[in-house]
Amino acid sequence: MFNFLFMIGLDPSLGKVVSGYHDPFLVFLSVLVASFAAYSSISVVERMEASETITARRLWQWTGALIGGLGIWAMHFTGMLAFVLPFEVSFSVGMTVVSILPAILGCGLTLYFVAKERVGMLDLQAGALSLAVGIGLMHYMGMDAMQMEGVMRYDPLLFIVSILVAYVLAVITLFIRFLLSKYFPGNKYISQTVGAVLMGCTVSAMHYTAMAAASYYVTPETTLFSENSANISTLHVLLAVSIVSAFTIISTLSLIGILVDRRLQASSQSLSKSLERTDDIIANLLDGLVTIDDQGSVLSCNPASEVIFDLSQEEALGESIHDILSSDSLADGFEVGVFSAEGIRPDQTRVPVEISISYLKGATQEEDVYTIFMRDLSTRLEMESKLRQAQKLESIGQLAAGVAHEINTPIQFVSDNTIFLQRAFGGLMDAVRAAVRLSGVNEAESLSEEEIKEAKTTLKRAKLDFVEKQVPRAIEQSLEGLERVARIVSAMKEFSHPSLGVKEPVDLAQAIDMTITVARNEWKYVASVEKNFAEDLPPVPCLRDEFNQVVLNIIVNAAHAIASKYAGEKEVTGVIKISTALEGDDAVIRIEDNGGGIPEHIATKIFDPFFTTKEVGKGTGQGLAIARNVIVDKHGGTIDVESEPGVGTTFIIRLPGREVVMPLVTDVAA
Amino acid sequence: MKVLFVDDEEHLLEGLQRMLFHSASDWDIETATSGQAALELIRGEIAEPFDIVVSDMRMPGMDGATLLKHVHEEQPGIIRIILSGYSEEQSTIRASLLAHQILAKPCDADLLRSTIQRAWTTRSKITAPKILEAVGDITTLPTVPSVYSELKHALSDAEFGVEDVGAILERDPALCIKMLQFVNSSFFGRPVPITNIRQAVIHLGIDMVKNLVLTAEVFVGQANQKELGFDIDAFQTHAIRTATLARRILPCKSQADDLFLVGLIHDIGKLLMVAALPDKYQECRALAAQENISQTEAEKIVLDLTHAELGGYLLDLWGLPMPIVEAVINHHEPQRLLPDKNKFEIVDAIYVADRLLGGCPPDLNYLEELGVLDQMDTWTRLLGELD
Repeated sequence: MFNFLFMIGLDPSLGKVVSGYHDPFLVFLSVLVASFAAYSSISVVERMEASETITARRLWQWTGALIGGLGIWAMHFTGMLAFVLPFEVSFSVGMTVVSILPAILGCGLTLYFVAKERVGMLDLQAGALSLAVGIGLMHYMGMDAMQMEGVMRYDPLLFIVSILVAYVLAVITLFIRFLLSKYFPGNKYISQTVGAVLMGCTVSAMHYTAMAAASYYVTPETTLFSENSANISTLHVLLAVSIVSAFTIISTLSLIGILVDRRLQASSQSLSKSLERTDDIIANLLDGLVTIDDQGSVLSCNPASEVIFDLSQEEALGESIHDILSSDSLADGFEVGVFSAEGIRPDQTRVPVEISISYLKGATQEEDVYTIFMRDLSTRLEMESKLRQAQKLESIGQLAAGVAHEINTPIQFVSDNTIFLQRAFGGLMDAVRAAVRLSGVNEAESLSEEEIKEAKTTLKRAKLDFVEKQVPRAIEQSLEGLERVARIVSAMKEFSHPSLGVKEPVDLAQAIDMTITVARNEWKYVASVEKNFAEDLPPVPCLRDEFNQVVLNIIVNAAHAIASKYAGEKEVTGVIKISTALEGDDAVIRIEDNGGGIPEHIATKIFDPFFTTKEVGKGTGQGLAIARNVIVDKHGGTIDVESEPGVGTTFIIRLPGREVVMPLVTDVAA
Repeated sequence: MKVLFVDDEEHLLEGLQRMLFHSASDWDIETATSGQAALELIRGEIAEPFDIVVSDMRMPGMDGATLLKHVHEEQPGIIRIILSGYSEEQSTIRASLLAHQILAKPCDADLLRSTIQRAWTTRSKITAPKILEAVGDITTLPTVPSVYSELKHALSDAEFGVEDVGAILERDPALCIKMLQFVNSSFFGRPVPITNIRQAVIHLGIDMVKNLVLTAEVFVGQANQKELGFDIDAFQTHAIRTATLARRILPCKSQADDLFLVGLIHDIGKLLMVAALPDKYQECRALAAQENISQTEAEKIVLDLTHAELGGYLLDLWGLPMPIVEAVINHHEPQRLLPDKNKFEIVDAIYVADRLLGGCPPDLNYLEELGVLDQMDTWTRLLGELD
């Protein structure tokens, strides 16, 4: 196999030297095929780098090696076919086939070095070396396959040079390719094409240098062709062309394979990324996401829903949704839409949630799947509860200024009256003493002018007429004023006395009366209050302080409505009529005002939380929302409004006469 | 003196009448239970107009604020006092713009009487013929400072805040500089200087800032009148020192705002004279030098009134509250207030400070009457500590 080693060394004694020549067309073809092979071979580098498994990487590596090796062989063979000697040359098939092996091995090794993750100088050298050795071995073994009547010898110097040429050019090629792939990472084609061309030149250069190293000696036995037939035979050309064509086809197929593999890999990667993203989203949702089948069996649930239900995913799978979620919308089949519900935990505590149920209509579904999206409402409800507390304090605060005024006024005149009484008393005592003195004088004595004058002055100064008239009134009005103060203080105390959530039988008339007193400063400047309380209304079970709050809010609203309607008028013509009545088992309270009324388009919204027609800073818009919550949710009653714009408004509250046990919907303790 | 009391509470009106029956028997008292009725009464009495109107704020129909607004427009000479049970900050500020004085219910009987009496006394001083004569010589009186006026107007709006105040003031940088100059003076004795108006508003409150604006506007743009012997810088320095010393003499926190204002503008009459009556001013100066008497004495001789009364007149014209006007008028002779006065008040603090700074001792008898004579040593020491 390595016979060529023995053939190194020129020896003129062997015979006459003849030279051959190379057909230019086939030479060109040989370079072309080498470049093409190099291109296909290099293309696998990218596939090797993108391989996800070692197996795939190896597969690409040796596919590339095969193509490269075949290409080098094709180049060599075409080059040989291009070479015309003046005598008969044939090739041993066996050797020819064997010579492919080093080429393949060399390429394989080179690919290994070049496709490494971090390619260093050493790797480039190694790659170039293995390529050079591979090509070299291939060439000289291929030369060995030549069977001819002449003798072939290699010039030692050129022999070495041919190897060196291969090595150096390979280094340059690989280096340039490496640089190009580094600085144009986005465009592999540049590095691949340039590398391929350079590689083609490398292989060809080696071959033709090696050809130059060979000298052919003819012995007297050699049969020489005549001059004329020393041209390239058509057979050779045909053979060369068919080899090149065959190789091109194989090469192209491999390139197509590379392209296809690239596409497949890209789309599978993008698919898995997309799936990953979706899973990520679902896992990180703050709201719960549960899927169920048409029987209500849980198919999946995300981490957030695990928190809501206090169940791990394993525990939840397969559970019936009816056991862990309570809602009207789940009772009879599954309705699509948004609902409120309660999550039921293993320890039977409940979590208020808002759920949105939707139906998966995907064509790939074999069975019905519903998704339930859940939002935990407990924080929100807690906030709402706190807000309600704040509103309560706010309404009491609003009253405080008015109540202070209501108390200060009586105190003023009580104080003034008392000072008057003090002085009046002083004057009176002086007068009485003067009278006593006068009455103590005997008939015998007589009073001096002075004394009489003095007595008269004292009496006059006492202003007896005025005092006689005013003192009783002063006393009476003072007592009345003090009583007024006491009443207001007591009303305030009763109004705000906490019920602590326990319903008690309440005399509605009395409670409303208290509230009217407490709110007096709000309405007295703009309206008068007419009360009409039914005598036959028994005590009604209710939460006293919350009921008072509702009545207060409505009265204050009425006063404001009247104030804005009659603003600027000199006379007070507003009227607020409050009545209670027994209708069946229910207590009905009506609060009517003759204010501006509520326009129709607003009438439906007035009970909405935070809805207000007042300007910023005046009230939070919670009054009627709270009223509805108290009357409807906490007492099981109703609250309605009738209004005619420009005429007035009536609020009608209906409270059940018998206690109704209300479900503790979301009553989060503040 | 004719007084009209207005309140929707009849018992209150009767109580007042009884209470004043003995102590103010020479007053001619009338009452009304609504703003409308009060206005009709006032309009009916053109021949013998009312001197004083005392009204509640919250009443059905026409409220107190509207009533006083009408009174101010139709008969500005009537003194307007509010007696109210309402103490909301916003309405108080609004009220202060309409009334000369504000009293809160329940009001001590004596305080009510003396307040009304003093308001009337002050007013009569201002409307005295001699003042009107002196003022008649002045062709144009300085109008109420414009930024101050704008600020007052903005404050009467329901929703004002730090930003709005800042916005109004910052349009006049010279004014702001002057304001900050005052803010950082020894009067306030702040450890860390205040560097912008916003800070001033936050730290001092809107009321004080209002006063600051007024004083600053008065001082801004005042030029030296060297030929008349008037040095504005010395004037300003004296003003600040008087205010600062007075503050230390009377450290009561609730009166700091007023003390500040009175302290800085108590001699505003002098500014008026320099600006509008320069000849008379020079005459007074010459006389004072010649006869070796104080400028104030010279004024009495030349004009038959002092810069104190002139200043008071101007401030009343600008609509400042009665207590301020009264303090300015009487800051040289607080004894004049005596029968109706029994406490050491702002006017006394200014009086003492002014005297001490001028090197003259205050009237010791008067101090004894007020029961503060023993504090003279302390005050003399405070004077020494003043930088």
